[in-house]
Amino acid sequence: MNDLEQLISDALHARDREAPDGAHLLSDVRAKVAVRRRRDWTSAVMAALATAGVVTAVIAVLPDERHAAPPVAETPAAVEAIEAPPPTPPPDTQAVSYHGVEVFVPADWGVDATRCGTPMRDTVIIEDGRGQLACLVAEPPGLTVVRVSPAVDSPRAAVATEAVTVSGQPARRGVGTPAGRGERELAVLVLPGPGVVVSVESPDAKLAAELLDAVRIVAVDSVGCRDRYTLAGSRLPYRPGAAAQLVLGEPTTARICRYADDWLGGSAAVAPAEVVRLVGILNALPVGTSTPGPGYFASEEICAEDLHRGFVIQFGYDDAAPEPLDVVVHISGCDGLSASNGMRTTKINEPLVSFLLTAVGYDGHYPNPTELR
Amino acid sequence: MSDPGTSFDGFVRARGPTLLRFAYSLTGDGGLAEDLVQDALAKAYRRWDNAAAIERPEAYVRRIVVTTYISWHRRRSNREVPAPIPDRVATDDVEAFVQRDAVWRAMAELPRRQRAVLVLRYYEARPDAEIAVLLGCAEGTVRSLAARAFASLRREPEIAGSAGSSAPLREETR
Repeated sequence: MNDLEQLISDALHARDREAPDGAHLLSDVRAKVAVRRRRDWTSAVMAALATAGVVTAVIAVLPDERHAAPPVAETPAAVEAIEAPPPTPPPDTQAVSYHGVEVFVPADWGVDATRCGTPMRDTVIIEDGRGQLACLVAEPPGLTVVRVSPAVDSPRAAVATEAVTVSGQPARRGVGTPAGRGERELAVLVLPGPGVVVSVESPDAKLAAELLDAVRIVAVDSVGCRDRYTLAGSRLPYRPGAAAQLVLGEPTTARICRYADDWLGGSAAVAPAEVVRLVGILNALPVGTSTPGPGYFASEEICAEDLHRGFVIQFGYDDAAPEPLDVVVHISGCDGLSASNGMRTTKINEPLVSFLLTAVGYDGHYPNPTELR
Repeated sequence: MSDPGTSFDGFVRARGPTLLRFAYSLTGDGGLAEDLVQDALAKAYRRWDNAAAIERPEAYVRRIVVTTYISWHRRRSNREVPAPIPDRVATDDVEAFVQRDAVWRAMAELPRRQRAVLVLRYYEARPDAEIAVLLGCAEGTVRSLAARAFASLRREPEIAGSAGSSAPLREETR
């Protein structure tokens, strides 16, 4: 260490006794968490209500701050990370996963089939805080709409007063009438464990009940994706030779798991014929990381969040040593736009981004894939 | 999570002061350091089940501290105000104190990523490879940031006069 380096070290250490002592750090953090949750929740409710054209009702349904639960009580308890075999979906249904909760809706329904946030046909909607433009599109009559929301203190949760059990975990369930929509029933299931509310608005009370009956809490969804995945900092499963090639050998299966805030937000199994194409795309990627084009801007805060938003592609093999291979892909953020198997990191390109978006969509703003450098 | 070593509360109690000292070195301001650590812990709290599951939760939180600190770059003006000269100057070696104070003030003017590199290298004694992981950049970028920081510090007369013309700096020899 030379003189200047020593001087910098001395200057920094000489000052550390002036640092705050942290006597109230824990209580201050809890207060900040409470404010953040309230702000996030309010934003989500405002967006949802604005798209439904009922902004004027917001004041009436906001929870009374004085009666808000303490922040610790609001924390979603962890779902036990038991690696169970993927459950088999009921016949003629499609599974939609969110935060460790799997909802089954008829196979011909839409997923997020909305325009400006307004349902346009029978659909399941993941209300994960994405902003939607409110353009006052009229909703077709007679729709059944399932909403999956991350907030346990959703206004709809108030109608769920009956204690029930879902997948062995305590839950609450109830029925009511949606505000201003007397022709439909509102059926609500509150799952405090994963911190999710599932609600169904439908003119068919029996259908609404059946949809809630089918909801389950899973550590691994029917595609095989884990409910949670630490995208930043976790070690990927190791497979010998992974430093030389992104995808080794000839995987026979692949699934794409999309995570936001490290929670599962979407999943899809890759068709066998498409597995080869996906491997080809990945193995053609050059080493390095991609840079967004000039038209892309994301705030630093969003970029920090994007560390916990991305895709995990999990390949399976039929060979004798079936070590799994995960490839983590980030398509948004300030830097680190890449695909990585933990040993080899490559740039991303438009074919890969398109493949992933087609399979499971994305819940954030991402740079134009044709402008990646 | 009953183990106080991995529970969130236990972690904050045990490691909070260390994180605050680290944040103080980054921000140069007690209030900002508290704000920074609170922000980082609030973010970690939301993902604590995963943070505790990884091998070193402190490394996870520390990375959030660093990324949050750097993310303040655009959201906050550079509000750091060099702390007043403490009373101990009377008993300290005056020349050494003046140099350290000059370094402290000059570091307050550095871009955040450059300052973060210096703090991680010379306060936390972390190798460049680890700093690169924390900052989410290449190791070469760490060296480049350090070189630019040194160049800025050398321009300060009180620093250049004493340490600026000494032996080649670490990053220049690599």
